[in-house]
This record gives sequence, structure tokens and C-alpha cells, in this order.
Amino acid sequence: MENTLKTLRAEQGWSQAALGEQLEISRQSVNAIETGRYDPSLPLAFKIARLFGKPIEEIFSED
Amino acid sequence: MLTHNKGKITPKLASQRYMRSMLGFSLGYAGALIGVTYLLKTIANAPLLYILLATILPGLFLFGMLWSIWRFLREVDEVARHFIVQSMIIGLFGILALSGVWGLMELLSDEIPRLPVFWIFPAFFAAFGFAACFGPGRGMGLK
Repeated sequence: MENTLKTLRAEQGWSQAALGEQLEISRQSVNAIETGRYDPSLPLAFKIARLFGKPIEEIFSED
Repeated sequence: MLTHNKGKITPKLASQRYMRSMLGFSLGYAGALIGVTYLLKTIANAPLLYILLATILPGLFLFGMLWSIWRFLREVDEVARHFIVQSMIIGLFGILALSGVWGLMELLSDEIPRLPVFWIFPAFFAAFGFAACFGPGRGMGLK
């Protein structure tokens, strides 16, 4: 999976730690998702989508 | 089933709780181990029941260490949990492979030194720790 999380986060001017706090995950976890080391579960993906006000498929896409 | 403790505890607090309880149980284990070993050495030909009862104490601390890991896995976020479990599996497989090969060598040769089963537990933690530090999940979950 690929994602645009890093770009979306940058647009909001949030640090990884700030985004992690809103998603209730650690900064390292945000980094792992952004760099593609981990694909989030559906509940977490929905949470991310809700936070940025976008549909999941606009944030996450297949390689 | 392992589920995230929704918002009740932050990843940082979960890590702090884990480090604290692991440190406490590890120190307790080391102390109990030294105490029990010393006690049993002072008693010549201690009965088996006595030895069994005495070894329960360090065993309780071992259980505490495992419980700390279980609680941590329940409290930490899903990403960290994924990498921690991955590290545990790498450590477990490494120790299973090593003990399997060593055990076979022990069976087939009298020249191979006999390793006490006691070392499986610390060896697993060493392998788990190594995998957590240098494996795919390095840097995850404990900050």
C-alpha cells in the first residue's frame, strides 16, 4: 500500500508527534505508516480519513 | 484477543508502565534466584518438595515478566504491537531452532555439553531483545 499521509500532515503543519497524539498512536508509529513499513488496520485507516476529512481511497492506494 | 486500550492510556505511558514493571519483576527474579540458590545450598540433601516450593518464588517473578509483556501488548498502539509481536516471533523461532539443533547434538553425542533448560527463558528474552533492537521493528514501541 502507498499513502499520502506525509503530504497531508505537512499541509496541516503537524509534526509526526502531533498527528500521533490525535490518532492515539506514537510518533514512531506515524513514521512507520508514512514510510510504508506498516499498513494500518481498517479502524485506524478510517480514523486517519476522518481526521483529514477525506475518503480512505484518497489517502491509501495499492502499489 | 489483543485489542487497543482505546484512548485510556497513551503509547508513552504504556511504555513507561512496561519498563517499570519489567524492571521490577526482573530485579525481583534476580533477587529470588540468588536467595533460593543460596538457601538450597545451605541445606544438605533438601527434599524434592522443598526444592519445588522454593523455586515457585522466582517462577512467580517470571510469570510477572510475561504478564508485563501481555499488558504492554494490550495497551500499546497497533503499529508498535505488530512490530513487537514480530520481534517476539523472530526471537522465539531463533531459540526453537537453536535449542532443537543443540538438543539433537546432545542426543547424538556424549561430547556435547548438556545445557540446562533453565537457560531457555533468558535466551528467549535475549533473542527477543536483539530482534527488537536490530530487526524490522527497531525503535518501535518503547519510546
